[in-house]
Amino acid sequence: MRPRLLIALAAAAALAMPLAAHAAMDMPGGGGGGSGSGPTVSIGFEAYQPSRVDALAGEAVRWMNDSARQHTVTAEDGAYDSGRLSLGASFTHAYDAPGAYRYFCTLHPSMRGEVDVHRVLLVAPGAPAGAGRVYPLRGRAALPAGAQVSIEADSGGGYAPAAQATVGDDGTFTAALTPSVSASYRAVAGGDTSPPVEVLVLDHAVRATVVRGARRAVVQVQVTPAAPGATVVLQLRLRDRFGWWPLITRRLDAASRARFVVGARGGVPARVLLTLRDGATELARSPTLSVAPRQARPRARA
Amino acid sequence: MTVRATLVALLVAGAAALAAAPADAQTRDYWVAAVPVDWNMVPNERDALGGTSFTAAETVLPTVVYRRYSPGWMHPERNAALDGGNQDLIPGPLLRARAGDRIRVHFKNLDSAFRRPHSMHFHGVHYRPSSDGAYLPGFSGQDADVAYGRTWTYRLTAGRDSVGVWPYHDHSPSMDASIAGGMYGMLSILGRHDPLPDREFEVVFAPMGQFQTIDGRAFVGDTPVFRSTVGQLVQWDVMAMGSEHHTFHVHGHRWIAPGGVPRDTQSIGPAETYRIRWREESPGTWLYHCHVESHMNAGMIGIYRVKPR
Repeated sequence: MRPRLLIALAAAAALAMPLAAHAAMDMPGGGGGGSGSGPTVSIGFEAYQPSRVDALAGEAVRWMNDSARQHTVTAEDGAYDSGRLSLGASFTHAYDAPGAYRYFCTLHPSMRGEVDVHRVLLVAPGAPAGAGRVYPLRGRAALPAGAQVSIEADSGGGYAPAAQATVGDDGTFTAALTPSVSASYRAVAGGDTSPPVEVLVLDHAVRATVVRGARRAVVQVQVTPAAPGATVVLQLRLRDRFGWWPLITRRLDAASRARFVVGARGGVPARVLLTLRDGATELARSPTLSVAPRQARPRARA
Repeated sequence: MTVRATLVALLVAGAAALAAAPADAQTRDYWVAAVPVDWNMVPNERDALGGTSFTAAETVLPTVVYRRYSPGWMHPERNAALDGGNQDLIPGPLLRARAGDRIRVHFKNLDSAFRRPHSMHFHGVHYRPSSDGAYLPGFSGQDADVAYGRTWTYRLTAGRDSVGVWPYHDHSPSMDASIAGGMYGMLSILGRHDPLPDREFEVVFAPMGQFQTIDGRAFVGDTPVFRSTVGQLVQWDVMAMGSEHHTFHVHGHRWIAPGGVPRDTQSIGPAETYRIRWREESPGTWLYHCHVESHMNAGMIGIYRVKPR
């Protein structure tokens, strides 16, 4: 690496990481030793919540014991140890370099957690986007001001560049997206890739029609505006599943259509959801349908 | 011959006898891959007993699982038959054999999401160290550290001492994250003349995310809905993974444990397995669950429906 770049990176790292490699335990009511900008983990009776968090390199992660039991936050590799934390006590630690860092409680070794440290992170969008409208996607980076961040999008066909952003003096960046369909976004910079976040575009409609036969029902689906490759799920409301149950998952074809074939069932409501690729996060749904068998026509009396 | 040498000879001869292949033994080939999935632990988004609702953001876990494939990893296949009662993807494909059979498990790492190394490590069967699949720096080979895009064939033999149900799981450097994410399955090995059960249900107790799961699912309706008919020979393959103990309990039924003791609840620790059989005679809709109550309340409960004949 060139010396000037090394110096610049080291200077930026020093600015961005005031707490790097330092750990501190603070007591109830104390000011604490953390920067406050990183994630906070609640220590419960028998689990860390959440058990996995994302943090920026150099950013302080804070653990708060919210349970009546004593616990510790102890690195699996021995790099740090909070000692015993009683109810209300907290502990902070900052990680220098990207990576997955696992920790556990020495008093209750089945309690385990993980901090995934990155150089670049996207802020999970709090609201859905409108199709064709500018949407600000925000993030944070442990990179020098002026560093370029590439924003990549995947709406079903793999990640591709979607926007660029520049890291500001405060370590944040904003990319102006104009999404037309829901997609996963990730940020790439400084040799690191952020975990993905989902941007929902919620103006789709799901139209479903049923062709009912004696033994099976064919459900035809059309999603507008077109979202080829998007995920649709046929759900049935089943008594022994205690609610709506995803029965079949399909991808919309090039014409934004899909087709489900199910055994005909009387008294079982059906519906089709448009979801993110996880098949679970709902974007839109059809009205409730019937997949009951077609009634045989009564024979004409002679 | 010294006493020690005699003991070694006897042990070798004993092991050979246990693993010896009968005349009608088969070689069984299984094709398996590690594949990424977005796994929903609570597809109906509710705990119907506790009255709690969830959103997909709380219940979907991007993870890696074992998936059954056609020969040559040409096409993905369902891990479990549609009408079998077991669900797809978690646990991994049930690998069936009879005592004396040779088993070849052809494994491919298709973990395109995390690109972690993976492996398969099998309990209960005979194999050489190159089929152990367990990572040990400086000692283990490619079998224990199958990189993304690479393959390995594990060569196993079901001995007479392999009859029963056994775990398999990732034992690569990624073992902890893989097991927490559902990378486990079972071998089901029958004696040469054991009758096939009419129904074979897989029950794996393991924590996942914030839930206590059966086969990676939490709460009634989400965990497998097992079904049988009065008169059928029913077999439950029960296993625990993780770091906690569980108790397998089925309402309205009893079975005979080794030693002739009737039971309706079986304690089970990490990587322990039990094969439990009975001839079904109790129609109705029954609960099955872990009787560690904090586990049951966190999701380790399901229903079993028996039709009258």
